Amino acid sequence: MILRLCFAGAACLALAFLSGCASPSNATPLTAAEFSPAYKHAESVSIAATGGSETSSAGASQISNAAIVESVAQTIRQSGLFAQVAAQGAPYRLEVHLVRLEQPMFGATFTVHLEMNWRLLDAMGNPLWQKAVQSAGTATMGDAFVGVTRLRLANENALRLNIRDALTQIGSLELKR
Amino acid sequence: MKNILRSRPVLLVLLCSFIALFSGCASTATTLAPGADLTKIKNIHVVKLAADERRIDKILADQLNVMGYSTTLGLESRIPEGTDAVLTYQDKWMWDITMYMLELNVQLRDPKTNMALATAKSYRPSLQRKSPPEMAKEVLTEIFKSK
Repeated sequence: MILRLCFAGAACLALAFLSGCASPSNATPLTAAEFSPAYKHAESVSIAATGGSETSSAGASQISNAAIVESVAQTIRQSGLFAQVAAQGAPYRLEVHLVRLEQPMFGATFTVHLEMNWRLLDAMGNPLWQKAVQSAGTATMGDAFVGVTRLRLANENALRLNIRDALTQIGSLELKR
Repeated sequence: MKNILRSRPVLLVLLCSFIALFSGCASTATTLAPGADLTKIKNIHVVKLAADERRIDKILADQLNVMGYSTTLGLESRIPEGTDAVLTYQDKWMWDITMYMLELNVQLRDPKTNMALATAKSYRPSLQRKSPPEMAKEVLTEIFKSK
């Protein structure tokens, strides 16, 4: 009887450590070492994100639109890619659409696959640059023992890499007004 | 207490409760990319996943045909001329007595830029499982309902 209870308890603990649910991803700006644009633009940019999801208490960790906007905005501010991040009415508009967030359900190492559509538009709404960017973020048990946290970290890593790839490409553009 | 926990019906109820608690509910979700226009799509190329032995690509193509779209199947590198959109998919399977499709994700893409115009997802845990054709119908109906 005691042995059965121990097995049941161990199974529940294993499930908790290996599975992931219910911790929203935080904004994850890139550091200056991770991203340094070739060209810095003197104008401001506004950012809009769609396709993200809020994390429910019973579901897996998600990436929200707010987390995407905040991550991109902080990275732009730190790197100086654009002079300023404006709420609206800027000469440039960066639209990010979360297409797909593929997450594992169980495992000691979580690898999350993220795909986002990126579009840089001018003030008239004409596309100056657009690309579908895919990235993979990983978190191991060394990063976090609990599955909840590990999944969130994997999400954040995927988001960070996606932002780095997209902004590196934008940073290589010579935008002329 | 000892005798209750040894009772098979009680253990079965506890096991089912455990599964229900952790399996979640069935759900479908769709997103349309800003500015995407699906109304002019007539010809769709369904990209087959190399590892897909269950031929989910054909199931999706058959459902699109029923919905009135003209389809082709094949590799991403061989998109026929005149294709209006490319359909990609990811399927997840689980085992619970038998194998069942847990999740089906589809993306409808612009053939020139590969950017997703619309996405749809169907998630069905074991107790709410449906066949792959039914899940294909779910996701494709959701995508084209949003146009």
